[in-house]
Amino acid sequence: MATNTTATTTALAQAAPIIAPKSVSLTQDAWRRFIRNKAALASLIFIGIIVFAALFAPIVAPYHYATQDIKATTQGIGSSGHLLGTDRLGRDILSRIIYGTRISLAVGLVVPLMIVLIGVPVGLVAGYKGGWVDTFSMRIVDVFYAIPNLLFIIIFMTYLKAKFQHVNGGWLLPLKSFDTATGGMLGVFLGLGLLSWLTVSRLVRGQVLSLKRKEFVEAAHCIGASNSRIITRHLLPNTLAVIIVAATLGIPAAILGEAGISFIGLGINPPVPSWGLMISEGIADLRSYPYMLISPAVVLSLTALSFNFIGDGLRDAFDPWMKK
Amino acid sequence: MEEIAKLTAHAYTRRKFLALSAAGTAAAALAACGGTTSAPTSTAAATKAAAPAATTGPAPTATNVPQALGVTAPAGSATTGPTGAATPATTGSAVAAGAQPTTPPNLADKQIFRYADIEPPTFDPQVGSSPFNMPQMFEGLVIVNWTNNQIEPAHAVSYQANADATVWTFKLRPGLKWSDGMPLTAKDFEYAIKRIPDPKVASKYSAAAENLKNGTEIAKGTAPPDSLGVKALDDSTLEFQLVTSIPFFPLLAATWSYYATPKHIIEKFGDKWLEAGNIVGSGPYIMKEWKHDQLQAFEINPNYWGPKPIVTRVECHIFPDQTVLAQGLAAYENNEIDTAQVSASDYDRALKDAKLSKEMKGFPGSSTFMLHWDTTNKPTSDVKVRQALALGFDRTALIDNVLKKYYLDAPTVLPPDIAGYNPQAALTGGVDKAKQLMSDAGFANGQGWPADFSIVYAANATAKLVLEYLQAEWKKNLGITVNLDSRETKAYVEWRVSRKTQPYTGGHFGAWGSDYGDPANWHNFLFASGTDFYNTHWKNAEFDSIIAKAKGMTDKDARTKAYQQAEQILVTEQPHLPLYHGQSFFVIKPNLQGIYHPAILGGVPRGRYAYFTK
Repeated sequence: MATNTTATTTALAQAAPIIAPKSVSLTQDAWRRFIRNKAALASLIFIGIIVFAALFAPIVAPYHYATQDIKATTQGIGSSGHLLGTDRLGRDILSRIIYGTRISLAVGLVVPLMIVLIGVPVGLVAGYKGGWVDTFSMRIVDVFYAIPNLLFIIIFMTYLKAKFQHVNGGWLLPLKSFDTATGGMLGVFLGLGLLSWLTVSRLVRGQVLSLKRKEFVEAAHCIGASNSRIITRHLLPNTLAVIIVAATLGIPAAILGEAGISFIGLGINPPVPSWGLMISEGIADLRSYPYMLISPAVVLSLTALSFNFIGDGLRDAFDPWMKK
Repeated sequence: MEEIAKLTAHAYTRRKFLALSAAGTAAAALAACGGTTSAPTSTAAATKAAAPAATTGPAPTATNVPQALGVTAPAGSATTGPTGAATPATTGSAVAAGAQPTTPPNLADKQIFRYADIEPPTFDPQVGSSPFNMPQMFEGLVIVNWTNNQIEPAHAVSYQANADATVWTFKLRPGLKWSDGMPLTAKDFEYAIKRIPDPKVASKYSAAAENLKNGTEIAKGTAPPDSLGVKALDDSTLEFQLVTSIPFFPLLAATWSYYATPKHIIEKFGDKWLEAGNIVGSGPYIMKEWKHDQLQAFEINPNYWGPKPIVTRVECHIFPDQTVLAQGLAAYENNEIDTAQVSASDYDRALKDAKLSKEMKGFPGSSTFMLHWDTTNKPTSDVKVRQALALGFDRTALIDNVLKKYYLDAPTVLPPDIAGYNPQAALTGGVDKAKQLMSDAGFANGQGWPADFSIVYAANATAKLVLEYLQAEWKKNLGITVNLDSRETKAYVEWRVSRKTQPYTGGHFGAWGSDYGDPANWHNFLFASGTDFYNTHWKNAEFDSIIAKAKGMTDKDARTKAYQQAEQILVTEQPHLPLYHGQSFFVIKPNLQGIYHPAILGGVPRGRYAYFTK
């Protein structure tokens, strides 16, 4: 009789195996949905190329960005030795674009990071605490919102330049050295970052407001979780989607912002190439040598567009209501 | 006239020329030419196209400035200077100044002349630091005739200097009238000129009166405006009392600050007297319309004393500062205007374009673009360093490849048309000498060079280009790092002015164009230790004493030699690093004649000389 039962059990087991559904984490699910979005995928590949160019610029670029070939000024696209031509000082445009990826990516990384590091805590605390903390923080945000962006950047950059001029020692000196060594990056980071965190803080606060009434927060409260634990362990992960999307969309904004202030001459110092700087150099020669303007403009547009698509793709990927 | 870099190799030349187109201000310098009538630089120029670079006309030669003009007394009388080097030009008193000598044949039916410019910050001759379109409807006592480069009587019919050129007497033409018919007398000139230093008028160019007695005191506020050294002895005699001997005073009297302005209109309308409908002048045209930021239009003034101009209507199409040259050229190609200036950016495109290259003409200038160093602050306090910087880059490549020959090389400071021009004074030795000087000064291969060495400049495309080139050259040849610090134009000017008492590590970039054709406008006005316009803190006793003596010399040859000597000191000591001299290129419609752009103040064309052929 025993053998019979074993055989039956085995047969049964073989006949109808129980298939447990494979558990998929949030990230895996989001990733799968992300790659299905063609535009987002293509953008990711493009940004991958940009990142590669930025990391390995000295190897990838045919020339150094400041090398002037005075005998070969204003060569057009496709001329010998210069795939995208040269500018009025004989500098290779392709190389300058490649080195320019470093500036754009640096700005694109640091500024959204600043935005997140400032905006998220402010939004979390304001949303969760409510009361006078909320009112106080949000009124400050309102005041900052009222300041015209460009005007603030111009004033700030001008002030910073003037201030750094007279710095010879003290705690400002390392900052100044960093600033000069990178061609003015510190100023750009601060100038762009100081006003950009406002939107994120409001977004996060809104998200927190809708979350803090939910049952799981109440439950955590009931079992005695401290406020900081609730914020970090429960609220933050649930707002992560919003934060990631805001940060990703903040990248093209930062890149374009840097291009804008370099365009008006308040950003990166020449000869360090930033795409915005190259565009402003190209405008004067628009009718004579249009390629000087077109190449950096196209790359800048594609980069900003790519980040936008990635941001959109991420938002869709994380959105629980979207159909698969 | 100061060339703020913003004024762009673009607008700079524009503004400068605008500034300088005073009714007949000095065309060229006092060179020892003794009465040469040089051919009008512009029409003689006109070679371009085929050659890779457009060439400009022969360098302008000096306008002869006689000590007496138009007096019926025989030449060589006591009225001429003691040296007798000044030859009175014409003795006739009925010379029609500033017009075509004869009526040209084959005139077109429609004579409307259109050109482009920026909105004038002010149109008041005594207030403005640039003339813009003022010469169309205002005029002074004398004029520099653009067709032949001679000082000629205008509102005045004759003038005389006393023995040491400190008192000048002008006799006005009889029957002069304002454009509204009111009589114009010497008292009107006295009124107008007294406005220049008057603090209530707040002129941007009150220094124009500094050569007259009490001019500087009035501007400071320590003397009443009425005490200025200009007086109407009667209705047709005007006397100037100068602070020192100035043999070239008529060149100053021809500048825009000395134009006649109507007391009866100014007192009636106050600040609004410049608007169309109120404004009154005594030049060949009257302003009929002024749509701010759009158009300024002039039509013939029936009450003008002189010959009637051929062009009946002059239209100045106004464009924004930053884009005036680009937009002007576009408007020209669209047949909206008849002449336009070609900017450095458009220059090589214009050369390659079949139509534009035929219509483009080059005109010599009278300006220099330079770098200015702080001579009392390290490292530029060491003359070896300054000389090394001057020699440490390839000048030929700068002019030929970077600037594409739009400008001329300037190894010395004074432009070629100014007396005292001394090309032999140029530094020699090239990059090797520069390397050696640097290591003698202790900065071999750039070691020890201050990290915050910066060059401040007013943001402008050509300036940025040139400075980036220098930055790379100095790095390559001398191993030093130079930072470029661009500012907005107003901010740059304020920074520069504040350097009077503040040191700076490095230098700044600025240009100067002659206001009148005399080295006093350069050496005495800009570089003397007392004035130090560019705040280099440079003091050289020998230089100061040479130019102080030279300013009042009446012997032309001795004067020129003295200024050449001063130039030698200036170039050797290098408180300023001269880079290139300005010149300009204009496209002119083929049927438009009579367009002149003298090297000094010749930026804006004048309706009185122009005419259209069929």
